[in-house]
Amino acid sequence: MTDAALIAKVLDGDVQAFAGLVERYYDDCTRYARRLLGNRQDAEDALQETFLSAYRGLGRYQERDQFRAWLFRILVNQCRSTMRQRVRQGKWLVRDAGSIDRATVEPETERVAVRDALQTSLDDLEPMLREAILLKYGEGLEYSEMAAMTGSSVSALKMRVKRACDALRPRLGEIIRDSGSEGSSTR
Amino acid sequence: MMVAAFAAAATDPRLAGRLDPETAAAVARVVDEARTAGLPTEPLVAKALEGATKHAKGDRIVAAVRHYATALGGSRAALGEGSSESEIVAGASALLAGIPGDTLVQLRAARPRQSLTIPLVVLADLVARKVPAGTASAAVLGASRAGIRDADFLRLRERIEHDIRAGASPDAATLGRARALAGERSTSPPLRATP
Amino acid sequence: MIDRDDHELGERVARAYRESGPGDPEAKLRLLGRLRAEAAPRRRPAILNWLLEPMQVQVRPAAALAVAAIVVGLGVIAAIGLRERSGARHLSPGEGRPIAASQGEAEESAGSPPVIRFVVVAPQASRVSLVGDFNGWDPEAAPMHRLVSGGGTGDTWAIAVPVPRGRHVYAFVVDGKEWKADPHAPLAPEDGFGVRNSVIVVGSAGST
Repeated sequence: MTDAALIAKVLDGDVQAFAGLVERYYDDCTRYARRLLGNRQDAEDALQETFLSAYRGLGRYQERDQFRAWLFRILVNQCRSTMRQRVRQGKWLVRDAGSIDRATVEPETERVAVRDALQTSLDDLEPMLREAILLKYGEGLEYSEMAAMTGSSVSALKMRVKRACDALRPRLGEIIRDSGSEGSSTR
Repeated sequence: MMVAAFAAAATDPRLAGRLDPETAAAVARVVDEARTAGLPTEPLVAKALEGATKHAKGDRIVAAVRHYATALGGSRAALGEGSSESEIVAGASALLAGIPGDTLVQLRAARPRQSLTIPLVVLADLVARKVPAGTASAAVLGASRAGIRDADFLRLRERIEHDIRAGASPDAATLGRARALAGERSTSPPLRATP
Repeated sequence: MIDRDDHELGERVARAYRESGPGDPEAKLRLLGRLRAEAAPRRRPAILNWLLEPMQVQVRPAAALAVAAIVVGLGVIAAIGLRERSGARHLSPGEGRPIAASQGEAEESAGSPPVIRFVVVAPQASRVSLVGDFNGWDPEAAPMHRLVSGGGTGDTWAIAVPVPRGRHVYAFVVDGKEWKADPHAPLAPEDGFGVRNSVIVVGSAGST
């Protein structure tokens, strides 16, 4: 059943149909939230708020938008809100043993090393740069889509992606080299 | 001189490394007394190191550590023997800020089984922001008796801070927010401004 | 502007991203539970859609700088003035999840203290250190590093350090001489040395 059909069902009173949309998009949203926020608990909270927001606002959704894009816009902004709250506190937890634990039970391949390094390097980027590179290369969005989603200009987004790449390149390069000699390292 | 040097040799190496021998020895004595009394000693060592980093004079460091040790004792007496280290430390800070020991006793009565660390942190913060001790005490006690959670205590603090930054007097900001909190919980008694 | 190197890097990022793993089934169940408690959404009359046309967040150009300031950091140390006030305007007090609760919710490797990341904005600084009772107040122990900035000059400094559970005091030392509390943390009362520190409580969620 298409997203539009599920939504129509929900608005007609079959609220259970929303679970179908959750099933369809929860994992994708999780991926973005975890990578951006670097922390499972914050990601889960952001995801909850996002889906609740989408549910409450379903009456506003118009079919000319893709539902996934609409949902992602809510997610991106929810995550921004989390970052603002976090930074306002001045500090946040960076080591999320949950994600690292999962990585270490898998075979120690170069891919695992990259993933740990990716998260560590992402954590060192300012939130706007992190967001930009995840939307561009993680989600594979066009700059025009990113602009519509975030409200930032295409040129600002391009600059952020470039800066993010410049920052990540040496860090990831290091890890790839290390993983060749010593195996992956958990940071 | 020899005696002082000997005493210094028995001192915590962290103190010996950062303080002159006389100061290190004097601080070590305070720390030993505290240890004998069963009080937390790490905060005392940390206090001395803080003074060293700030290039404070030896006698000032010793005085600060002594005051702190006294406050730790007072805090434990007021909060009760079973109190956690962070409660005792937070309580000591509140006492040093001018909060009466009686407020700590009343806080414990209001929250016998829950940690008082956060309410005490909030109390000390308010006084540090120039909220009169009486007003701050009444606000935190009132909130504790109303059963608010730690998360809400911290939010209350943030709201008060926000209002102070926005130009309200510390006293008025605290009274205002505390009243609002009491209003949300109709069972708690209304807060009165303390003279 | 985007060159080939960036594309290769992008591919690597994309690969790692795709392997991020599925969502947590229990978290999904919790979400579904919450959804059940919600009122059913209704179709909005078409005219309202047109009139109200909501954007989840619209960053007006003039406000963009203020938003960037919020996202970048709020422990602003140097002549804050306008910047911090605009940051404060955009925040609703009480929205943030208190740090004491959130730290406890995070998992940590058994036996080792939670790692806390401190972030501060210090636009004019050439070096910033984190000092506290958890590192012997040693300015050499935790030199902070600048984050890469989208705005060019990198005003934000950060460091992640292990902080044992309990109440701690800390401050930032700017350029080896200026001692500054964290403007957005609870204050510790005057410390006996003429300067104020900030307080952090590392504890469990739903504090006992």
